[in-house]
Amino acid sequence: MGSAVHDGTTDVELAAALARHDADALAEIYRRHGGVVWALARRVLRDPQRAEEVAQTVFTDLWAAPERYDPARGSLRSWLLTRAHGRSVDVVRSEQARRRRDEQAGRRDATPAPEADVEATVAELDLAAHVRRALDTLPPEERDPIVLAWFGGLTYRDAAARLGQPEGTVKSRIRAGLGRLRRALEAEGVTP
Amino acid sequence: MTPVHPTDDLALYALDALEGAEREAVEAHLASCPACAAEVEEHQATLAALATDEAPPPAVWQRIAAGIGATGIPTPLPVTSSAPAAPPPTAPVAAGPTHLRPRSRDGRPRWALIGAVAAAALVVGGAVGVVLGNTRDEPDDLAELAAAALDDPDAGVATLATGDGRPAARVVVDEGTGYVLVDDLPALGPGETYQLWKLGGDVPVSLGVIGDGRAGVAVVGVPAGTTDMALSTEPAGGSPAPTGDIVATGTF
Repeated sequence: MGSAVHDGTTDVELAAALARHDADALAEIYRRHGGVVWALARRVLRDPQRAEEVAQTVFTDLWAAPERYDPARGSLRSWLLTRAHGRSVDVVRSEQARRRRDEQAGRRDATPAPEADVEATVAELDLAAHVRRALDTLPPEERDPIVLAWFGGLTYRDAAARLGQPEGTVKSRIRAGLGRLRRALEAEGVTP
Repeated sequence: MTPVHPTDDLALYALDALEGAEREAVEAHLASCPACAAEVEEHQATLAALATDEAPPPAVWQRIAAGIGATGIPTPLPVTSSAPAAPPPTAPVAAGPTHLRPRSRDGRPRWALIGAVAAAALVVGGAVGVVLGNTRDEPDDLAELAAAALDDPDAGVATLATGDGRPAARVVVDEGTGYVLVDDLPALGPGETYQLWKLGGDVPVSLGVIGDGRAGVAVVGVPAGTTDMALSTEPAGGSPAPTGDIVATGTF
């Protein structure tokens, strides 16, 4: 049930139509990708209301400056998700900073830090089966910092601290893990 | 030692796992290294493939549409939504504009009331009734979000005043989302809209189309660094550059 105007139009064509202030094109882009953007923001933020704000911002930003998406540099979906993740992480980090300030001010009602158990985190992410299988092919020492960074919004330093591992080790494991994850997703029939 | 290509850092960058100087160093490198930029894009595509698809709450599109002045477009049904499309509900009877800005005795806006009335007032716009119909059970309507933003001590607030100094509207920016709260603006005719502009650059930049002033709250995109703003009247749908009269201005 897409917008009748833009059924069958490619993402690249839709993005180009935004430059002509075509609101139907934005509606169709939202129809195609609003769900993943929202779902990613919700996972990172763990707060539906803030996730709504992030999802909204991602699409209104695209509307305001569609030229910032360059089709030569990847898919529109990947670009939107990258923006959604960056925004969400900004919110998470400013929350963390606020929490730190609160703790320094000695406030008792400071929110506790998120759960450190990566297994539990993965379980509650409610990922698609093929994504679970792909993640499960990674050794835990590669998977855990990726999950903490991507879905938890942690910096690699915070992830290393959380995991009790040296930062340099975590760095190289993240890179190795992302490569392995890509191959595993391809084996699952997903072409990233 | 910094490697020629910061390979490990590219993965961290794609994960948004770098901060501060480390992040800036990667960005500087990416600007001049297409090979590394391509590697980041590959990582981003890998991470994008982890995405789960879920139907977002209808309020998300409602706010996007309000922010771009396209409230006539009904909520696009997400591709993943397995539920059959509900028939569009009948638009409720519109409230009269005289009830638009209820205030309590101390003069402070009564946000809950504004929310309800603003939602009804939006229906005056026409097809937006479909959108609102989908979100009747959404507790977090625009007015509540704006009220929460207003209460946040970290939010930036600017009052837009008319030439004779009368407050006409406020702009609140919280966590990157901007809201225009209409305090005292004359309602416009069907062919017109209010539009908010960022001033101070070479040319005014549109921050969003506000609508005809009947809705109490609108969403706008206010980039960091915005200080001076102006509100103008424009043809419905908004203009790429201001054409109408400036009705109010304000500064963060």
